[in-house]
Amino acid sequence: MFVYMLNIHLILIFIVNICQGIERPLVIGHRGSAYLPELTLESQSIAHAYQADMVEIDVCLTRDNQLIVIHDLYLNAVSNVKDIYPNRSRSDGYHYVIDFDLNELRNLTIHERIIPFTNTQVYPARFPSSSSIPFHLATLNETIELLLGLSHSTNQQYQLLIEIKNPEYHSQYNTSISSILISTLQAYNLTESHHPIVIQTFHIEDLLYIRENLNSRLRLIALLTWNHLNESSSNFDFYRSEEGLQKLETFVQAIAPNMELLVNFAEDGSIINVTNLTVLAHKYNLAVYPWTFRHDTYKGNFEQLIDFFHRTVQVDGFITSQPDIVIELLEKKI
Amino acid sequence: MFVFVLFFYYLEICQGLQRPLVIGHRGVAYLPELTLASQSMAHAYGADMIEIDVCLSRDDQLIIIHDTYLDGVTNIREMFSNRNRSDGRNYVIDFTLEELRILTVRERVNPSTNVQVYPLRFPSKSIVPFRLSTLNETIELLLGLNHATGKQRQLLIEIKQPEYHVLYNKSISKIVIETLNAYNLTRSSDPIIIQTFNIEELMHIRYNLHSQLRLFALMTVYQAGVSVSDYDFYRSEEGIRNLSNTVQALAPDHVLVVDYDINGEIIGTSDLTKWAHQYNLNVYPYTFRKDLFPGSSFEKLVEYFWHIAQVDGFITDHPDVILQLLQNYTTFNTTSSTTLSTTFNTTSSTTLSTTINTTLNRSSTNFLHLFLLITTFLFTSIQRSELYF
Repeated sequence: MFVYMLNIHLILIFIVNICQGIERPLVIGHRGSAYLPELTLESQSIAHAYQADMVEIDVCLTRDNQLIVIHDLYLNAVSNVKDIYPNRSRSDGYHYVIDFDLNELRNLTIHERIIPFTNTQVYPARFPSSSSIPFHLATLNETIELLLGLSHSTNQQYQLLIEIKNPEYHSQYNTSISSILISTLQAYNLTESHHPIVIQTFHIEDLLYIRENLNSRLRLIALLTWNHLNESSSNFDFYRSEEGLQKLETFVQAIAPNMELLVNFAEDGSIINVTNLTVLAHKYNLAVYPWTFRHDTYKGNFEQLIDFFHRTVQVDGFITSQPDIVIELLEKKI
Repeated sequence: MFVFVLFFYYLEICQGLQRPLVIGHRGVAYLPELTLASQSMAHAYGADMIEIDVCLSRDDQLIIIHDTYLDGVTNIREMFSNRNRSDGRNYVIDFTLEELRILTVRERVNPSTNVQVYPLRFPSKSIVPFRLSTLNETIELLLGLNHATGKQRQLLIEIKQPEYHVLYNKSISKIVIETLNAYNLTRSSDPIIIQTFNIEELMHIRYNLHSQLRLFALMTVYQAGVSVSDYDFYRSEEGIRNLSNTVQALAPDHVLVVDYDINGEIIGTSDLTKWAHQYNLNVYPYTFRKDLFPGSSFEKLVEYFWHIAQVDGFITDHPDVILQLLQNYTTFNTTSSTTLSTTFNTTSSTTLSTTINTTLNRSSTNFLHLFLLITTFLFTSIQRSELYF
């Protein structure tokens, strides 16, 4: 009888050991994480501490062609620019990154996102935007050195997902932000598909340019959203069709769609059904990384949301502001 | 036998529900010490407390820095060429906050040789512009992170060398208490603790400044003529009894808690922890560093201090490592969820693939052992009852 129990025990251990091989989806810290002002070096550091597999950042260009880590093309939502440079706004009242040199931007302090020209914090539950802590804008070089330095000191390799903001807007200023990005990465010897850098953008044609004209071997991800949002001139309706995905397969490794392209949501945030986008993407060997899973603003049950995308939609990763929460939920399920 | 099994698991459960505190020393080892980024990582890793050091600037601002000089962790020599003293060093108290703000902070180097003190840590040559922060900013970081994450971590503020600051007619403790007052951080229930090596200064804070904040007594090896307080007295039974009227815990150099042989292996425990506990004081030794420790096994070192020396917490540069060790030896996970949940550790694949492997930690294996023993008991008791027929 005891031998019988021992066998059951051994079988259970064996099953559990098989589970060791199961891989959980990637967790990508959106702009670092929700808990500190977005995209600051501190926010990126805590995403790493929370064990996010990738940290997602955005880059824009300054007047002197330096890559700044910032989400918006303007400075008014996250910095004190209107106090430091009151006369440098455009006629719409906003101060644009591309109108400033790097050394001018260094004088700004960064805070948690507010609605510009108000004192209203966009995400009230997050870090207080009224805090006097002088966070600063980071350059891409500093961000890369943080990544490499942390990988060295923690002995853990996390990756950087770099979103190029609005390449077409930057072209109006006769600069190719993509070329400057690739050159900066080359200076750090970050060029190959196995290097911890991935590039994404909404302008699909820029990805093609990076792959075929700049001959980059870095992994590329196609951001996809609704055409009417005018994120770029790309035709997203085409790129999420079967023919479009087939074309994407020839130069990108994954798609990063607005999560509303993968499932149909009801008014209350609950999910009605799945679209066929993930199945089609997988057919053409494209991984799928939807955005953005925000625990503090999602109206429905967040745990059910993650579970649905994990087990039913079967996405390959999650772009989320709360990487710690998503990791904990995913690991509970295995 | 059944009773024995139950008793064994009851003991394990009790141990698991109360793990020692983990205190992130100067934040974490992975980023330049005491920077806001380093403190943020300590918070994210789950350290119960974040330990920081404060010194005064020339204009009485509280600067978060460990040394009273700037040459170990900043680029002061590149920014100011003629402000050093005769020993070659630049002292914090000789500079205003505005001047200190232009410095960049980097991973610690030996100022004479420019060699990185801990070679495995963040590269000291990196151009990432970390900055010195003030106590106000550090307090706001803690409160802001506690608010944003919903996790209540605490700040352990070490006042560096009050007796040195007195030479400049500055009462650093008074300025610390006033700063904390401005943030309404005054009670023993607030997430702030103060510690210092100057025991008499702790008395001053408690009885002259009338602070109700929790206080820890730092202790090191007593050197006559050098040490500011008589640690040989304060770690005697009488001294500990004396301290117990004023402080809530001792933070001793780990060599005062256990005895080491020539090779760094532990050969015994001193009476310090026993006496401290007798007088209701907790014990938090320093400093546990995974990249610099006595003996041959960091895991065994931590285990000894936990189970044999029975300290109440660890002051460590690697809070994530110690938290992991404490969880691996615990049957039931106590940190986040209160229900019995099986948790998995993840390690990144070294080939930088875009998928992750998960590995089982010991909590789940123990759960299976529990299952086995209960079912074994059930079957053996059924067997025994069969024998009666």
